[in-house]
Amino acid sequence: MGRALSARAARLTNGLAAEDEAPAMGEIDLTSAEAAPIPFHVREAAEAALDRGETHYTTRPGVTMLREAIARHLTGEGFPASAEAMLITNGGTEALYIALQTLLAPGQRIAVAGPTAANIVAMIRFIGAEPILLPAARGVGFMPSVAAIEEADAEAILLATPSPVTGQALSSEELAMILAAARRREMTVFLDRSLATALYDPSRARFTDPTLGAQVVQIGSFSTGHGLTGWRVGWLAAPEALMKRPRDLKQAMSICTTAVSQFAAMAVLDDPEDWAAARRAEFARRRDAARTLLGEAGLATVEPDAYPALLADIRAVEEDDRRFAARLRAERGVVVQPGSTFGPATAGFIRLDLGAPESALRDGIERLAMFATRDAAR
Amino acid sequence: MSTSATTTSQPAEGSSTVNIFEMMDRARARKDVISMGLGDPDLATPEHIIAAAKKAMAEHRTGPAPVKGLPQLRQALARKLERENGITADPETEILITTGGQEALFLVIQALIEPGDEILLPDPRYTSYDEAIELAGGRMVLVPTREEEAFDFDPEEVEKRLTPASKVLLIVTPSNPTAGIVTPARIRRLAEIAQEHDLIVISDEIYEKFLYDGHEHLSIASLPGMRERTITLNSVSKTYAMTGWRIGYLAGPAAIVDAVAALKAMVNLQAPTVSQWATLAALEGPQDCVAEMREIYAARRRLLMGALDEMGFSYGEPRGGLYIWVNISSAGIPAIELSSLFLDEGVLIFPGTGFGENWGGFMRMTLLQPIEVLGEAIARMKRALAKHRGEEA
Repeated sequence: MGRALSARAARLTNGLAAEDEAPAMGEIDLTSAEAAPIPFHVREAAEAALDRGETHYTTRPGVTMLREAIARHLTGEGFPASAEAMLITNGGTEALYIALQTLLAPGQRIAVAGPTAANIVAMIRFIGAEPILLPAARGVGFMPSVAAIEEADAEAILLATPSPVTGQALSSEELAMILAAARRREMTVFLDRSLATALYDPSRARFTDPTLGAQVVQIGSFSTGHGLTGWRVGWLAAPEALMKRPRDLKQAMSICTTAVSQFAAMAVLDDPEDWAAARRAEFARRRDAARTLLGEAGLATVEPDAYPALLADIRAVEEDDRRFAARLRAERGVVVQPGSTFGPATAGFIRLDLGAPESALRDGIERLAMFATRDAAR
Repeated sequence: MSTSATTTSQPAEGSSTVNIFEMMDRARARKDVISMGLGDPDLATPEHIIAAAKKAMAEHRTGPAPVKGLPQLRQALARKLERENGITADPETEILITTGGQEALFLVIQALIEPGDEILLPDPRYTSYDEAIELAGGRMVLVPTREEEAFDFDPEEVEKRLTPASKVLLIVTPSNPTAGIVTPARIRRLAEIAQEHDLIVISDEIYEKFLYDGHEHLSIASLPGMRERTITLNSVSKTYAMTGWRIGYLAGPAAIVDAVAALKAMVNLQAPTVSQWATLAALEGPQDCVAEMREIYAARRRLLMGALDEMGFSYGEPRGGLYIWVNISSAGIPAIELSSLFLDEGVLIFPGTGFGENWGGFMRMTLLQPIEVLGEAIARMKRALAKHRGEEA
């Protein structure tokens, strides 16, 4: 048989094959979260939906009441949205893919602000656009300066706040400056707010410039913040004038989003027991414990605004984060993500996922602390 | 005839699928409309499948699953493919669970097709294929199927259209929208052609369980020399009335499955976990429900065929699937106008142009309403026709 794969699919596959191996048995995996038990009221709502016979296709853009609820929520946060100009997607990733695939033309350039997962950069290349990775500004976290954004030779910009890589969130003022700069340059703004529901302080999700907030192409998710990753529910909201192509592609890709999952998501938004607050408190406890232990081992950490990321600065013991991570894995059996996989701004850091199983997190951080104090400098 | 898709990254404005949804909006504005439009079974997902989903939730088996799908489900699918289709597939490397059959087809097209490639597919067709092919920059080569041949796929018509750029042959059996099947003898001939001309075959078999009048399904991947070059697409949506759960799957050579898995990881990580557990129960549980559904659809099909005879419409020979593809040329108006007259009387039926630009004299009627509702729909169609023919007379 001749060459089977399309060139871009082959490129994507080869790129992924080059990634590190998945954690093996016996290794402590601090790169991904364990499944969270779903709250009882969410389970009840999902069961009730099944009992009502919600087993058919839903309306194409998604269950209307869910879109209305999300729109109200977003509008309240300073990002005016409507149920009509919204799509419910099979997770935030599908929302991001649909947005980029339909709203960027092949050959267009998109500025990528802040540390970004390699698979998102691969996605941009897959659709035929060109990612421009903006350098981080000196001394102010990991985001590029406003000037760098204004000077970028790009038709669009992608940024995530809070950042899934660092856990850091932009303040309302910082975001307003970035959006204003993008607007001056007439860039399409893709704003990934998938972790807005994972903020330790939910009031930080509020944005004070709804005029700017109404113009972004916004992506959200029920995965990390609400612990519904396996249910696959996210959303895409944008000015109505941009929504036709995303709607058409969603239909062509997956028709609609899983019905029972949409009803589970709706129940999450209506949270009678303040389950979300308990989840935040649990992550805060883990964050504080981890930061204390790592600090005692001489590893500074970056204060995250949202779970589950925790970045540790390893430069005091080792310059090369990939080497550090490889040795930590080989010598201590602990798997972490080297920061440079997310771009140059996070080189010299490693990323831990605080959603790892509690015992693995405790053991893994102890081993990491031990490694940093005793072995790394060897 | 063939049409060429351009290499733009966006689906065409006003594509056929989208027109259908505009028609649905018009229908939704009225409360009394009987829908014979969308391919969404009216039947409920069987109770034991729902129970399995609830059990998975109660046991908190709702967290992330691997990109290729739950191992247990892939193993069950490997057994199903072996047992029912004669296809051998390694559950580790040759099977992938997708978010519905639609996603399987979308991703496979993106994995295989690039600008310059030609894909041969039957006409009329499910036009979501068009959008996936267009996005990949491929060129659709339409192979006509004919009413007088019960819309079987003619290998000679395929051969006539082969060029050095031919890469993929798409087989859909039973067919949406025509209700034709590709008969086993022709499947065998198509397999020879695929091997002679080094084509990759995509075999869409999502309606495989709904065959009538003793017709038989043959999976092309089960034939000698074909498993290496065939991607078999399927879904539980129609078989178990599970459209809303969004689970499809594909089986094929490991290198292609790997590429599709990389795409799957890129576009949405995994198929929903609870739906995967429900699907496991569907595959491993009692299968009487499928036979029962087939009997229900067969009875509706007989009723509708009789009514169409009375209306003076022909429809080839509907051998499988959940539709009847009706030649309405005796009405003397294009299908889009007849659809509109039917909608005025309260019946939603998609005109043939939703399934290809050459099919303005056909309509697709679904078997997806209870038989008494179907009876009412028939009465309304007859009323609309009487009015129309009365005005003409």
